[in-house]
Amino acid sequence: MQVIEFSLNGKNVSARCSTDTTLLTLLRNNFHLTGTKEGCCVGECGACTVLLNGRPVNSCLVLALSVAGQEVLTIEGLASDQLHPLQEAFIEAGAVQCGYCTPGMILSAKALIDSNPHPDPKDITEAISGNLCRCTGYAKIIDAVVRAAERMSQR
Amino acid sequence: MSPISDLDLNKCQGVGRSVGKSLPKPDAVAKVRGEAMYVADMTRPEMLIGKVLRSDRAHARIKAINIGKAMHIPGVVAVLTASDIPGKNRIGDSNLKDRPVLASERVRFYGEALALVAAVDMKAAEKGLSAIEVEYEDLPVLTSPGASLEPGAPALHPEGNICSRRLVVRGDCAGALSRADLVVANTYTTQWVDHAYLETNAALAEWVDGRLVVWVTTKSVHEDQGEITRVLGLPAEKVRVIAATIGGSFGGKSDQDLVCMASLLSYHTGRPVKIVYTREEDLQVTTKRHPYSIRYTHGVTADGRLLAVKMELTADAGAYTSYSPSVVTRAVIHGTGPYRVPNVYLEGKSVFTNNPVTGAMRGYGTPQVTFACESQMDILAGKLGIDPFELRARNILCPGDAISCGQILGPGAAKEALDLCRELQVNDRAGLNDKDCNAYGDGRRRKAWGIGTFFYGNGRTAQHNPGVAEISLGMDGVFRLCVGSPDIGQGSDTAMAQIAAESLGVDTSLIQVISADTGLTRDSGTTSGTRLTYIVGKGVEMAACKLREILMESAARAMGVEKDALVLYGDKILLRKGKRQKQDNESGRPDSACIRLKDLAVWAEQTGIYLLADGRFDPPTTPLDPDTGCGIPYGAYTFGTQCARVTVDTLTGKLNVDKIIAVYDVGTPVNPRLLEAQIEGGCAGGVGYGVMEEILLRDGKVVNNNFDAFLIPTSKDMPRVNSYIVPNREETGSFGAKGIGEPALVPTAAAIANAVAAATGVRIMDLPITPERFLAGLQERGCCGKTLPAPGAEKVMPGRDDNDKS
Repeated sequence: MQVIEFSLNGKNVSARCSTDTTLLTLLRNNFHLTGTKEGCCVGECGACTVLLNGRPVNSCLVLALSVAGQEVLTIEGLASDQLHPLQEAFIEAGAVQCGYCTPGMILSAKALIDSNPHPDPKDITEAISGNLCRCTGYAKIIDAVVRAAERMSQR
Repeated sequence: MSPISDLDLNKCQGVGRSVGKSLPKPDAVAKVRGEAMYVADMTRPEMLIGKVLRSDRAHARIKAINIGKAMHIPGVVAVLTASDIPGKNRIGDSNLKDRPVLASERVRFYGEALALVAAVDMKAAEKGLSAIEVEYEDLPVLTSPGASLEPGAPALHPEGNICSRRLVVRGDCAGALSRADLVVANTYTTQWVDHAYLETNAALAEWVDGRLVVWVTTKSVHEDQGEITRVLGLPAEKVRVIAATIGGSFGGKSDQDLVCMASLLSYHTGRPVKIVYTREEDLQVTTKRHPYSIRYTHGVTADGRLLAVKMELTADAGAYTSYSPSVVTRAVIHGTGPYRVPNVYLEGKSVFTNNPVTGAMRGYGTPQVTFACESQMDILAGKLGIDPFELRARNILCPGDAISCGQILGPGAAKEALDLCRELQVNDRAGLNDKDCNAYGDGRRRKAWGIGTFFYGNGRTAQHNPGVAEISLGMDGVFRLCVGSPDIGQGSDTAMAQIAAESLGVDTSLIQVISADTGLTRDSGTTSGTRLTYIVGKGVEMAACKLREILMESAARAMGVEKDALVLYGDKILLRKGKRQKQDNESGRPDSACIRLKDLAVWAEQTGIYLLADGRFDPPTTPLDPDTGCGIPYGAYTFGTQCARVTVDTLTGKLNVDKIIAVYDVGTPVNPRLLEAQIEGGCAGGVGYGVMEEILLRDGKVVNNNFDAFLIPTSKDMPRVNSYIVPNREETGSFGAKGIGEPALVPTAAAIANAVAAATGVRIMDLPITPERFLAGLQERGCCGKTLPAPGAEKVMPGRDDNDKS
């Protein structure tokens, strides 16, 4: 067991973890941040996507010890009292069905918009291609990201 | 006509203030915040982790299960085998209950459950599992229906290896085939696929005040409750099953073994126990879509009138019955496709094997049939020299026509949907020139459109399957609508709230939906069979209309006026303009021209009047005749046509689905955005089914047991789907509505297969159309490396088109 310190959703935290603990397990079991979902545990479905220093990663493939000193953002850290424009847009566009892929999708989309404020549907398709969704056929998710990007650039 | 997203609602019948509105799903708020609680997210003090020991072979006699060592692993709290089951070790979706929760004498499929471990954490649970010793005696593994039906094959069940049979016969099929101008016969096969919901199966069982409470991801809490009570030997009132937030179903999550296993562990330990399947476990042990082998023989006249359809269908049932009998029955009834066929001989059987159990999956046995039947239609069109749309139009079911089993159809708009799809597709093609169809000039990349037309009966086949709802007005002025069927993510709670609000004449925000909790809701059937909007929705409408009457009568009494003088508006019941109040006012309220709903609820409480009502709708069906299969299996049918345009790279075999046009008759759209979302998601399932998804088995073991090898469509595989509806109204449905859940997926793979054939002349009769399979088909045609013949000059693969006559 080792103790690591890192930034989690804007707060400095510390955690004890062993060498084989994944970031996904750490977030869910130690911090009870269950918005990060496990879908496959082999880095294929993207349900466990979080942002590590602003970049999307599959937290099931990241060893917890490796995030020492770095910044982790989970879905719980995205909204304060008010929803993030992406969250609003996902609701309005009907991009949420079962919701299991939603946290990961929103974080992949956030990473995209942060680096490319005016993404076109092709950019979005590429950015979310590591996040599987079985419900929506992706169309309404892409609509939602377009809608959110427009709203964010107006603010 | 316009896409659903900017539908002109004035043209739709049945829409009102709530029905017809694209209201957002209230559950989306918790979901975008990451706060929605799926079973895996739940934790309880003293909670144990449950794990399942599973057989590592598909067919074997169990000689011994030794749990002694496992019991002594630190952290292990309980190790259970079949002998620890207090009730009956029998579960199943049909009445047969032929499946054990824990196998004790024999395993019939790879991954069948043998023993359970509950431990303080995952590591201890895994250690416990690996300490259990099982002695097997291997038995021959039956890996296909053909192997199971061979003489001398071991019987997997006491009655033999035939799981079910269904025959639908009408007219004189053999005679009509002999009179036909053209007969086309072909054999088609379809693959194993999995639902691949993103949330794996999970259950949490705990004792609360002497009652077992089970949280589960399911499509029926009431069926789960029934299975748990039988297995634990407990009365129903001792078991409460509640659906947690459900991470997708698509027909899956109907297997009741998991809830029983979690319940058993909690029963024996007295502690909360949670079992969450790994993806590998989920893909191995849960029910799958049936692979089919279908032999079709179609007979037509020279002018393209279908005279006869003969179908011989064999489905792999896997190791236990599950839903196989009703899946095959539905497949057989839909065996003619949405066409008028006077002479039919449609025969289906399901056969036990040592493969994974097959059960319910979106489309319930009909995407397979639609792929084969629609391929036949295009082959017929090609041979007759008739446009594929035109051939379908000449045969499509119209109001007053009989379907395969003799049921006379009411006003459906199958023809209108087909015609609109044709118009949209032709308009799209008009923008293309020949150069576009042959982008590189060398004939390498070929594009074409293909058609898939279908119909789909709403509800369970020829069975009672009532939709039941209860609604009450609380003293807070909010209506509580209780529905037993869970919202599996598709938004049924939202649609039900809209139907209730429309029936009551109040705003949807005043409706709170409570669904899928055996402690609070009555059984309104499973979330399956495209039955929620059409059947449960009607039950909701009936309950809400009844309550509205009670409200108006109560308000009339409270206000001392005639009921007819009142109108419900917003959150109040008002006196109509110009109506004078009677002097003998019972309520004595200061504002006697109106009463707020919450005040009415308080008055009713004090007066002893119950402001609650229930509704029940069972669609008008009749049982099928056991010999001929004739009867009235469904109360309503959804109709539709999809067109898919594909680009096939004839060098690499890579197949891209470029566009999909989807046109449906779903009656009244209750929530257009949710409707469109169902179509888009269904098309994604259909694209996966058509071109990539395939569970690969080796001696009953799933070889590709995670998403790295079992591929489902990503955002890059999905084209834009343009969805449309044609106006219609289903008289028996709520506000004229019918269902879309399964119909959304059914025709997509068929449209893709027809597009591939139209683009390249290569007719693939085995799903999925992978690059390898396409290139093999191309090679069989001897076309490799050569310029392809013009699209339209289709030839079926040799050896498959064996008794043509023309």
